[in-house]
Amino acid sequence: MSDDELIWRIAGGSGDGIDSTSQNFAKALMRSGLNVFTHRHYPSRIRGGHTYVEIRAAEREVQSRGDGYNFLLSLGDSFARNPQEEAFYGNEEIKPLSENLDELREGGVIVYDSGLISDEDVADLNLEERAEENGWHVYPVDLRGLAKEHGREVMRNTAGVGVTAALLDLDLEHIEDLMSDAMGGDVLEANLEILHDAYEMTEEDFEFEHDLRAPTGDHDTEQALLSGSNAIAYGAIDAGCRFIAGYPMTPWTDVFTILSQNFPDMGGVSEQVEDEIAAAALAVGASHAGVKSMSGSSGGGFALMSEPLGLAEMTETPLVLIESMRAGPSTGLPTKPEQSDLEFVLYTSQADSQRVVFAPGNIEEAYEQTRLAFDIAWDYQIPAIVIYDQKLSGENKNVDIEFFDREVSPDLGSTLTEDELREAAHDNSGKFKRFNYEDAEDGVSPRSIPGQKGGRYLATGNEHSPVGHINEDPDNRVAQMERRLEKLEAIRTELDEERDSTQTYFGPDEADYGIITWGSSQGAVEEAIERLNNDGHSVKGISVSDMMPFAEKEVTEFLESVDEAMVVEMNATGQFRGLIQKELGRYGDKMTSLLKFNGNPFEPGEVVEGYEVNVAEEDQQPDAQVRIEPAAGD
Amino acid sequence: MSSDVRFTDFKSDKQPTWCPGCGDFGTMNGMMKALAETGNDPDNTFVVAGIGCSGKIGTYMHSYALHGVHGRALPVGQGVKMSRPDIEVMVAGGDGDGYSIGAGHFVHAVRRNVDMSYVVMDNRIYGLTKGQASPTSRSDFETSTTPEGPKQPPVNPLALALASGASFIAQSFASDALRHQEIVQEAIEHDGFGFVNVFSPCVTFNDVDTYDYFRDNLVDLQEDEDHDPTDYEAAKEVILDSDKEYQGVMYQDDESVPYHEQHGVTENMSEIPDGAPEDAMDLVREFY
Repeated sequence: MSDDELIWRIAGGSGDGIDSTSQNFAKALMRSGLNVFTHRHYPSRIRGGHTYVEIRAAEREVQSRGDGYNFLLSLGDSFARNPQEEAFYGNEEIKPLSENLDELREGGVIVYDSGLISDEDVADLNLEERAEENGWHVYPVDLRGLAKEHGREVMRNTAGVGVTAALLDLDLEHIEDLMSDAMGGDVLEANLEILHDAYEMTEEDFEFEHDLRAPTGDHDTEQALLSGSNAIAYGAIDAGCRFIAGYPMTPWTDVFTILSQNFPDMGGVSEQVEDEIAAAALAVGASHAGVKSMSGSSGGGFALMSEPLGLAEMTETPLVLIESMRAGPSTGLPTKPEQSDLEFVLYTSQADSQRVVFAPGNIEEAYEQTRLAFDIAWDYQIPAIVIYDQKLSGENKNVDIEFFDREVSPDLGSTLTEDELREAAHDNSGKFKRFNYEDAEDGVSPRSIPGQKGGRYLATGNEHSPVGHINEDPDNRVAQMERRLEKLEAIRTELDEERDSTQTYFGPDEADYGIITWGSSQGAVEEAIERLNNDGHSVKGISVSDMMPFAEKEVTEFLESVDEAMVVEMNATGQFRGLIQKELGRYGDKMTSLLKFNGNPFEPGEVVEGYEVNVAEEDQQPDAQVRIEPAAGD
Repeated sequence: MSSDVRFTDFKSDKQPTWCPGCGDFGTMNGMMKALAETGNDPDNTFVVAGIGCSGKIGTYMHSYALHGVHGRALPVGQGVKMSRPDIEVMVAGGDGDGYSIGAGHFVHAVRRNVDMSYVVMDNRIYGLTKGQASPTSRSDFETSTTPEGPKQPPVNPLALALASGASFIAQSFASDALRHQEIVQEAIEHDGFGFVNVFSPCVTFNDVDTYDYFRDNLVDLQEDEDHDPTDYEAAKEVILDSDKEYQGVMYQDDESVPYHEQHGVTENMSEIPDGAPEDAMDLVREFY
């Protein structure tokens, strides 16, 4: 647990401006040359309720939220003061202070708004006593009063940033620049006054007793602060996607919103429709019309997509669907992450799955694998799903802008031109053999799009003949089914032999112990493995992205190379460990599960602890809210 | 559009498996004739259908076509047209497909006013599953799953469309071939969502809403010189009149602006308008 990093937590009520304030502060830290990573925690409520954002900043690269935090800016909850709300929810004003203390590191700094949080409430918390025990340094500042003096009460978050900057010895330059970008006129002027006043007042009024200061760093290249949702949306844009239909659902709404704001300008279409059945069905229609299209949702909405998804499989419609997981079942924890829709997404819809599923583990992978999903979908005429979760959706990280300097790929894959169509196989009545199982390379029978001469065909959800007519002949059935499934084998071969691996590896090449993870748990695992190796343990890791067709070769090689392995995932039943066993048919006795399903993502320390307990073979659980599920036979 | 397109160009070599005498023959013939008469080319036409007897139409017509899942024909058809305004889109459905399992889509397709036509073969029965009540069946219509009748009033699809903000509402009768074709033609030519409910009798399972019944009870609005389809109040009156079975265009909004015009959708989406961001690189800079 090093303090060469800052983990700044800003806590308040939903609607107190936590998001925008933290976003700008993270950018300011990034502009000062640091690597930053943000983590968002919020309730399913529009206003009020305890919410916080953490910003982790360090000179080195940061891939996770880290363990605990070392600076708390507690704004209190300004929306909790409505007496009717208080009667319903209890005294929430204090929660942004009281609810955050458990994870504050030793020697940490606390700033709270003494203009909003009363002395009595603070006394009730035994804050003084606890601060002494933990070596915390507490700075009460009347942020509300400061804000009111120059502007309006809502600007108290700016006062909080000013106090933070003073305590951390952070230059105000970047914060001022970002404020000037975001606002103007009287509002800007008032905010700048509040910022400076807070900064100066803090320096004058307090004797600094804490050691924590903002780290310093330097970037060689231009950076951008992006979320996983940004990355998925931009991956779609660069893949040439121009059509999206959707229905709002947290956390998927972020991707839908970004594309709704960009597609119309780019000549594309974004439509909010009546439900998720329609959303995916519209995307199927657009794909048939020859436009790269997508839809998406979170688990509950994705359930409704099972019909159009099955239709896309049977009609071999290229399509990309995004599934942004949150904790379930049913409505579950609507704003909290979980990796518990893996089995659901692999098998949604009746019958044998004929689809591709990628699970990116970080922001760069989210961009690349969304593009990959479009490439594969249009080359092989198959639906491709990108599955991620609320954690990756909402977390922000700085990315080198040059990362996005690449060609866009608008081509329609295995679609014929009109000239090629003339040469293509037709039946005696002149119908194009759209679903031809003879000479279909890799199972792919090229398609036509409406408007092309000589390309007319029927796409049907029934089993069909080469020209697309309903056909129940057993020979035809077997030939069509095998052709469609052959595409999955061809995709696996392409991924293994022609493309850079989408799996990510951590730690040394040779190690005794392996940690396997997938999706957004990657960052915490990466950091845990680094820590374990620094402490003299022999541990390596793999983060798997190819769920279907499964990365069989790479996962087998990894498991063969270690004595024992632990599978880390955010769900209660070890779905990914189950998938490995199903796909590989063995290793059940080699893999332990480390599971977490309390609504919060893994911290690196929890993975380290899970490893320690597991290796020590002690008959205990590492933590009240993290579970170890032993390997088969243990 | 080529002027030498004949309606037989829309016909496939597959013979329909509908029961002899089924209203769907006449309904489909009228659709093909209307498409040809309005100058559409089968290579530029996309027909979408759902499930049920009506769903088979994509097999019997020879255009680009999709035979999808039950109740979801309208969303697929809208997806085609919203991304390719240059394609002629016609969606065919049944009363179960459109007013029961797909009723939610119907309401919103009407609102969205995509420039396409929607022809519903309304036989007031589920035929392909061998005779169960449909949402337009009479409340006392006895079937295998409703032994004493559904005991609930039938849906009035025209009123549902009107209440959803429709820009074109019409009704026709499959055996009145010429009028049916004319009405479908008007739906195709309408700038927006052209909805036609077609009385398409099921000769096997519905012995109430028969050819004879419709022949005896049909009132053609064309014969009513006073009926002005652009008059909303007049349309309302006809649509809510449950005593008669009307044929004709009940309502047409002459100021209808279809989806692609409202949203400025062009025929070629791969062309990015001048000055617009072209790729992710253009967009990420604002996140510095």
